[in-house]
Amino acid sequence: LDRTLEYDITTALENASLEDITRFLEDIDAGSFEMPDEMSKQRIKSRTLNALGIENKKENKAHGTKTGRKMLKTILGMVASLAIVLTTVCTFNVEAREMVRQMFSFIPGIGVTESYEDIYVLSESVVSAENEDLLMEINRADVEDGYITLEYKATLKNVDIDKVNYFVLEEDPIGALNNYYIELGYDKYFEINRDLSMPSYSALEIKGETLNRVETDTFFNELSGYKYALITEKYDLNGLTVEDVKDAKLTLGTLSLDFSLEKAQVFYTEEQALEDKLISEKDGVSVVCETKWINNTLVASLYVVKSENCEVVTLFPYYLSEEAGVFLNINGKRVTGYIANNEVNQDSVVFWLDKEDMNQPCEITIPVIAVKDLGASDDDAYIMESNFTFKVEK
Amino acid sequence: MHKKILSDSEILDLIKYDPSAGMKRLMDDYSGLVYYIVNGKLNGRQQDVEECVSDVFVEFYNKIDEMDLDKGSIKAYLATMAARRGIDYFRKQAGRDNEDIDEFAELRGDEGDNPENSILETERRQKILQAVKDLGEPDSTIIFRRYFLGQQVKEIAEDLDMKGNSVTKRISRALETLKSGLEEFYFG
Repeated sequence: LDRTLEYDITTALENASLEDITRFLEDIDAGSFEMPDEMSKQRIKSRTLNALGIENKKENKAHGTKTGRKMLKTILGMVASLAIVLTTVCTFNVEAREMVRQMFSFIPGIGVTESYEDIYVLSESVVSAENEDLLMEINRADVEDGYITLEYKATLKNVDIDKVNYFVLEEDPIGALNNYYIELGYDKYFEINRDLSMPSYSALEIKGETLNRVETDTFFNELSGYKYALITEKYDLNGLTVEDVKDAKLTLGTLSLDFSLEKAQVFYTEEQALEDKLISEKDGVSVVCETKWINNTLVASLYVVKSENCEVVTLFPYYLSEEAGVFLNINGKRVTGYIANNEVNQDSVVFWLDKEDMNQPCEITIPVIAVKDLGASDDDAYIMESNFTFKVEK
Repeated sequence: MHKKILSDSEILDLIKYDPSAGMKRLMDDYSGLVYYIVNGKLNGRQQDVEECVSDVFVEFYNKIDEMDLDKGSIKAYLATMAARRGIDYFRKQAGRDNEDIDEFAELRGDEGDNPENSILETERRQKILQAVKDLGEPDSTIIFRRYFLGQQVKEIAEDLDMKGNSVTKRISRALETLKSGLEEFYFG
């Protein structure tokens, strides 16, 4: 009877009205329930946003399809996320404390305020390596409580998305996908399994010591045909500190990638921070461009660093076509670049250019940005047509 | 990092205004609670639990336009969704693994197929719920924590700043009270 009663109580509570559940939960602090670990939380976030298709898409559910102007209004309210701030800081290798503090002080609706002391960042803005099978890119490396957490992306170069999409018609789609990976040799990099958790065959070596991997998670993006894997891993530093993370070697299967963490430099003035950077200034708006070549691909990161009499809403408004947003001039020939996914932010844009002839100097031009006058209402945002041009040397 | 505490309506507004930022904030604030409830119902592999938790947030987002904060808090909506979805997952899992099915059917009593039994079942649940509420505080909260959230005695004791023994005794006494108050259901 006791067991039946307990079961009945459980069932009764599970079927209680929202009003009742609200009352029962009134004094229960949701914050006191912790996730088993941060990575689990990140996986859930990633899976949820992916399922909803809303990651980095700032669309207003209440308004549906929007015109450019309405979209501008939405962009004005974008949350300046930590990622944006850190991306900016990482790219310049700058701990511009004042800048960071200012950026943190303006987060609509959230109100996060905290000044950072020591920030350790990847010493290169783009850390990547590739072979005939994979392109591997480290997005993030954090050291905390004696562990280092890495987040990196692996692009399975030989996977044909169209082919994968047809596997759904097979009697055993997962088996077909597994066989396809094995056929392409990706079993060197991942444990190919039927639940598609696909743990990576990875190792992290720092100061000649191979660290113990304590957590790993591989998230294959189903919507992009299982071509891209986002891998999050945690390693025990075994007594090493963040300062020891120099010449670290991350190996995935047969592909290795070297990286280092370094303490971000401290600059107290904007001029100091931007020294030696490519800067283009038009109509009171300054945009800085940092470039890097990965083989023959040019990776350009553009950030707004100053604006007078106006506020920049977004660089390269993302609702415009790519051609309207950025173009290059290589040997007098106009070439269109493509914008890397998920990297167009309120005040920054990163794009990868892998056209022919990229292995030489060129000019990058952004013809439009979205701005509004200081003090103007959101509705008064407009497109500024000024060419921001950077002469890029390899 | 200090986050401004957002009211329920502010969170809903944020989700409508900027779905990505809003959902991230919602998950920051509530994923621990949702995970706890789902894990209690499912008691499965971490991957299954995470998938189920994610489904709860997807359901929340998809139903956001139907939500009425006068009827229930965000916490209550999520907790209810978590419990029900956790049970659904458990059923699927039990069916898939072909385990626990008999036990589950026995506990359910197969009343769901019969409309008359279904009405009786609803009535019984309402009576039980009322009896739990009538226990008064802190007993009704303890029973809620134990049987809805699935908290262990130790956790309840810590949260309520009580001794473990004291919580155990209160649960035991509350069950006795409920049993005697519900005699008609159990002994006809």
